[in-house]
Amino acid sequence: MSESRALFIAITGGIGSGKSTVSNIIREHGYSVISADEVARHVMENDENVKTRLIVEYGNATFLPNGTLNTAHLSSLVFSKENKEKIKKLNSIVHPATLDAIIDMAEKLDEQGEKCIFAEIALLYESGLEDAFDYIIAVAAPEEIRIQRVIQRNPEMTKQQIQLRIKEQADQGWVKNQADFVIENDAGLDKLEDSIHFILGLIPHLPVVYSTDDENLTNDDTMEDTQ
Amino acid sequence: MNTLADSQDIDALWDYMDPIKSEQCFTQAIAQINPGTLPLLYAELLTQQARAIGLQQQYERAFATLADADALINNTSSVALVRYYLEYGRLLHSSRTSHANEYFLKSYTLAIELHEDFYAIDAAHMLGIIEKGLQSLEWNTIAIDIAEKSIHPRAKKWLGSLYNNTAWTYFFSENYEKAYTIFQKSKAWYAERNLLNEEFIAEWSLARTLRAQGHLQEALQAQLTLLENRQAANFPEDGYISEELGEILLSMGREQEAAPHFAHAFDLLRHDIWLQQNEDKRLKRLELLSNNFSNSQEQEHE
Repeated sequence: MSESRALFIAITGGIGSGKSTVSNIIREHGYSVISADEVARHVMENDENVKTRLIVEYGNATFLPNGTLNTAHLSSLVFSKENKEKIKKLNSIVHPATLDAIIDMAEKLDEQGEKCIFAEIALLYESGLEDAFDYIIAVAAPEEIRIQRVIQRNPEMTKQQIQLRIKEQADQGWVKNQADFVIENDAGLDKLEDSIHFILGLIPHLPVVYSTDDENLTNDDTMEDTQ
Repeated sequence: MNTLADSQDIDALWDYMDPIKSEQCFTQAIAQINPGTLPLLYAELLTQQARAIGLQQQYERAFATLADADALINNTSSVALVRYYLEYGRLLHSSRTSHANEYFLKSYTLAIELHEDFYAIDAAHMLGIIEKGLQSLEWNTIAIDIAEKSIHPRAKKWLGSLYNNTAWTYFFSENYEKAYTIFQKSKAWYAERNLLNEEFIAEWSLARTLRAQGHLQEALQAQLTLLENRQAANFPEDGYISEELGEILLSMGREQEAAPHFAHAFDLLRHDIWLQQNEDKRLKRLELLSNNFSNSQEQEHE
């Protein structure tokens, strides 16, 4: 990206915090939001190198007969007790290609003249990618609300499983202290839209902070919540 | 880094007519910013929160909020510091404490250094308000000069009110010719932007200046035209126009014709809180001249 490049802003937050809702509202305001989840899934299903490594690591059942990712199979193997190493392994396979894809997308959007590009990344800090962004927006909500949201969209998950997933992620209080902007997503859509509107109003006036350096971005740490 | 190039989106949180609501908006906005990573942006929001608190006349709390901003700014040359000085000056001024001009001057100097025209004008405009006579005129002239030359549309938005303030300063120093010329600029500026209410205020001020110059016939015609224009634009009745019609006719020696205008003016303006608090004598005069009208009506009946 050039010196007068677009601002690159991360949207992060734990499971059930409402990152996707925030991203959708930002999209409604006309901004591009790259979803790291979607990019990772696309990479896992389409990048032959990544696919091969996943099959070697997790077996043929990693993909359904139609070629799509068997998330239930992968989750059962990766997101169980004592899973830190397993998650790290999965992300070491998926992450570099995903990150390259995100950078490609951001550069294309920059060339198209976009002034502000957002990326929704669940495990931003866990991946050590925070310095790759000019500004970081953390989306937060009380744990009970987060659990309710996850159960609503994934009824098969138990409260204990969700709590375990929350525990695996960076502490929400710590994330709030690291991020530049915090959106508390705990009081309905109107308040959420107000918060987003305020931040979107400020962002175009903020200076570019980080000159994107691919070397800094392409590391092999974990990045994506590849569930 | 962390300095807003243009803080208009912070100011979008303002509702100057409702400082309580504004304070709530700033409180919500502040909760969204991390002072650890964006201290100057956070501090800038605190300065506006302090202003909203000050407008509620809670000066102790407002000064405490500004102290929090000061700690974060840590004397960093920034828009946040410009606004800190500006709001500190405003708080001193509205709490009737001295030395406000020192802070406005600091704000003005730093804003000029940072090429922040909007705030330089704001500070000069405040100095124009608190200084008297020639010094006031000098600051208003400086503010107009910056606004006219500025490349920032937001800075240029000051011009209408600056023309108005400057014209009144000339008016009160009895330089009616100069006042008239600048009121004309004010009228033209508002007309270009289709700001009808402000344009009408400028027309009233022009007519008022004509009366001060002794051009009573022209003043009368100007107020009558304004009255017609306001009616045509479906604007509500304006007690100040009625008052002026009364005053002009009185000056022409046409007391009988003036009296009903005074009565109407009193009727419209008697509940005006600003007039009650600041122009008590003026209201009493209207009431007196209204009573003359009532008495004369009663006498006619008898």
